[in-house]
Amino acid sequence: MNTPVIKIENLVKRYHELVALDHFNLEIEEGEIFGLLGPNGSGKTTTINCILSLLSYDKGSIQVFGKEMHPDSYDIKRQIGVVMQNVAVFDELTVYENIDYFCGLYVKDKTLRKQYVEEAIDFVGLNEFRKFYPKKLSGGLLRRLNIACGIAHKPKLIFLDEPTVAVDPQSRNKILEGILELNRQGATIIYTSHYMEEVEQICTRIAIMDKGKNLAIGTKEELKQMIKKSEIISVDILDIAEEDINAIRKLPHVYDVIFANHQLQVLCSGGKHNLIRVLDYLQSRDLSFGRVYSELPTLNDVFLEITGKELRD
Amino acid sequence: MFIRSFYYTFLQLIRQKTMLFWNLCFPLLLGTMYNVAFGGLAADEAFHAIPVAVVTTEVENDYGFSDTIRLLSEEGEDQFLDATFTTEEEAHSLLEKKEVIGILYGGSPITLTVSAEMTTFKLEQSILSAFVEQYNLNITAITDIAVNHPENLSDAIRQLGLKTDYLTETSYSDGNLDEKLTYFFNLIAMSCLYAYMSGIVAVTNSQANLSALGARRCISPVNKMLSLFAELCAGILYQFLCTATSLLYMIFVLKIDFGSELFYVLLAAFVGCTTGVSAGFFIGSFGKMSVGMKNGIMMAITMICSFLSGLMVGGMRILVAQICPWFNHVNPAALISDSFYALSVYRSHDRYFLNLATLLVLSALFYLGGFLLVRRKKYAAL
Repeated sequence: MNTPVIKIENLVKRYHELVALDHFNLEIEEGEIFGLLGPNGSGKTTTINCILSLLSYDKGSIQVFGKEMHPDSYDIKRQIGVVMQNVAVFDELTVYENIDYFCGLYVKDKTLRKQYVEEAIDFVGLNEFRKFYPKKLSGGLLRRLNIACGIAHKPKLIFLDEPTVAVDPQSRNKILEGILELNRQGATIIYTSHYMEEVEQICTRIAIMDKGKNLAIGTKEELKQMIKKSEIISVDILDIAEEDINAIRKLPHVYDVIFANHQLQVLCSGGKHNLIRVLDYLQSRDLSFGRVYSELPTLNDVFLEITGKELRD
Repeated sequence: MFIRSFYYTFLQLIRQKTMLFWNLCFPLLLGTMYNVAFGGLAADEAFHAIPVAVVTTEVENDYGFSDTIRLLSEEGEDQFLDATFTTEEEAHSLLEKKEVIGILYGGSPITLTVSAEMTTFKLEQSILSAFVEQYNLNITAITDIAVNHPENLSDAIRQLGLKTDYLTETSYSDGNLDEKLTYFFNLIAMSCLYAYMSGIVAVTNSQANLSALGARRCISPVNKMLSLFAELCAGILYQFLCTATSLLYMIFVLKIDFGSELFYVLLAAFVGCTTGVSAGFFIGSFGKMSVGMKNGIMMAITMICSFLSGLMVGGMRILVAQICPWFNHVNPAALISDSFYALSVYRSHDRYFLNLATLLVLSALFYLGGFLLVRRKKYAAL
């Protein structure tokens, strides 16, 4: 079995009375795009800062590339790239100079560094803006510059801490495509966000965090299987008798039925062919209906069921 | 790594317009304004020939009164009177129009008429009165000697031509004692202390608990202290170039006398900039105060130090020396300006080097305090 890229055991971090990380455990394998999903204040950024040895912690251990992580672990740090939640670039340096500066913290060879900087500019699509100062860039372009500064040195492990906050859809897509490309090039990625759609779109494995705890971990399919609700069938219908509702409730895999505002909602847990069974019943009772649609559960449903609250609460 | 950090920090500093204004433009502007203001003051203090109307008769001409007045009215650096020879009627008209300060009447004795309404020319009126009194005394003395002791007349005339000074002016050095110089010395001292801005920028950009940039740099495989040291060095160089520009402008354009030893003048400015950066670094290292607040605190400290050193009121340093003598020995602004003073006025290297040594000790204490505050590698909170 391969050594995990990151191994966190029993991590506890307190801010005075507040427990930010509560016996937190995590293992991330090489080549993953690992999503840390949780609401604001759930401990995502604290976890990253502890891994990076920026924050001290009260208990537990952190290993990166199989070695204990310390502030002076320069050999490990050389293989890590970080894209911070807040844009961290120099206002007085141009796009090119900023990337060159941060790349230069990792790469000493001038020729290689120049090549890496050019590739990073290409990668985030800032070719036309290389002589621009950050203040002249839009929010989306600034985020792209922030990413380029973090990944220009071609790290093996990349932390992306909510890189798409306040970004327009075009830049967001560009960023997400870029993350997938970095992963294809061999980087292991740790991605934190409270945008479940993004996590669902790009992450191979996801941990759901709340109040400093790791509540669930797995692929998105595994997470969805952890919850009771696996399908919602919605049918537009003018009226339906109470006895029909009770009958539908007794169909296999159906655990609840709601009728309101001329819409019937059938909540199913697992199983196949639920939709056909519901429609067959309605036809057999000669009940006319309009639009019919079936929804699979989202990560928000998973989060709602596990924590009892919405992801963005 | 040192060179790259140094280069990029220097690049950032020279592109920061706000800093460029305070560190370069402001001292240049204030220096120019001082020069204009003090130039005007000197012009006001210069003696101007006193305009007088002179009314004479044939008889008085014989005694040489008119010739004396003409002699004293000759144009030149020592012109005493601006005389208008006229009739009595015209002289009164000129006095009423305030075109002359008084009317001198020939005769024996000569007399003076001034206007009581010209209250702003009391000094000139007093000078004219003293002149008339002295002239009459001399004429009386000559006349008496000519009548009673004609054999001594030539000696008496010679004695009257001599002026005896019982006080002699001596100088302790060959330096310039012009008091206005202290304003320029203090202006350069203030410029040196403005280097605190570079110190605050350096420490803020290198600490994870102070900025996102600091966090990004702390997670890089670079020795934090080395890059911080490079940035502080860049800050010192940047401020020194700004201050040196102001200095050279004052010396060569405004013709301010900073003494003849330019190297030592620049060395004092360099040490002053080092102290300025160190003070900014020390204050910048404190906790999680905002950068704006730290800049505000340092600006207030700089202005107070400069004020107490005599930037706004010339004799302030002497007053401080009387009330709180030790303060001038730890006030960086006073130490820097006194270094220039020592070079320009006392031409004393002992006093100059003592000031520089004190500044270096202050800098060392600030750097030590700052490094103790930023030595942490992990933070309890960000």
